Amino acid sequence: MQKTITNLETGEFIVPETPKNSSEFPIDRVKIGTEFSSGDQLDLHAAGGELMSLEAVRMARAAVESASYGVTQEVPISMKERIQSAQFATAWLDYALNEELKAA
Amino acid sequence: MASVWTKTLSLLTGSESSIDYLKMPKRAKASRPLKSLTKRELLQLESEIGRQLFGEIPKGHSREFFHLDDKTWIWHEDFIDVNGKKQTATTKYEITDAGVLKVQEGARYSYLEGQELDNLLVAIQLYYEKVMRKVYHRDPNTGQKLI
Repeated sequence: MQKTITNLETGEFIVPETPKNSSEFPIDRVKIGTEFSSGDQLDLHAAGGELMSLEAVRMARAAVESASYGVTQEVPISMKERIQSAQFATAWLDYALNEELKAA
Repeated sequence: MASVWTKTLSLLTGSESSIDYLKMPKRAKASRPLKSLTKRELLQLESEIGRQLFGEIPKGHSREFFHLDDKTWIWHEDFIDVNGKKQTATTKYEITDAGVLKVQEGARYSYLEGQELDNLLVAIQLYYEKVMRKVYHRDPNTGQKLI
């Protein structure tokens, strides 16, 4: 399935709705319920250069997810499909990159 | 596990020196296989395409937009303000089933909505289409290598 979306350069661009869905492809590697990895620290831009603790990150994230629950539950199906398509595209890009590195 | 932010900083600034990010990556010539490039260099090639998806870059600004891993995107922009001070902004976007989580400095979290969400999703599709073809020489529809 394909769709046409606006392109800044050409005015029109044909893109796949999603990459091909096959168990042979990394589409199956997309994991449900993405979480921050353990050890993440949002330390780069914390005010005053202070490191932000992992616990603080978790608390902030939990607060956002809680507050956003109602919103995310009301996302239209079409938007959910587009988000899923973006998940697939991202997984595919990472797969392609890692394949290039493995071939090195 | 290395911090996503640490990885991002390393990719943006390099690890060898503080001005390493100013160097252009070694470009893959037509006859040169990509296999000699590092992950950082591949992501810089991706970002050369990514940074062009959002229109003209203001003079004096530097912009990067690339996928960091299988669920994360990075937007980075810096410029010198009127006081001669370098200003930077880095935003991480996490693609999740619940939506796109936007994480900015200062531990600001929010799910994208409206036009901003639409713009990012369009940009990701354009990026995917172009990068798969131009950087990895793969068919975006099948994921297979282009002959």
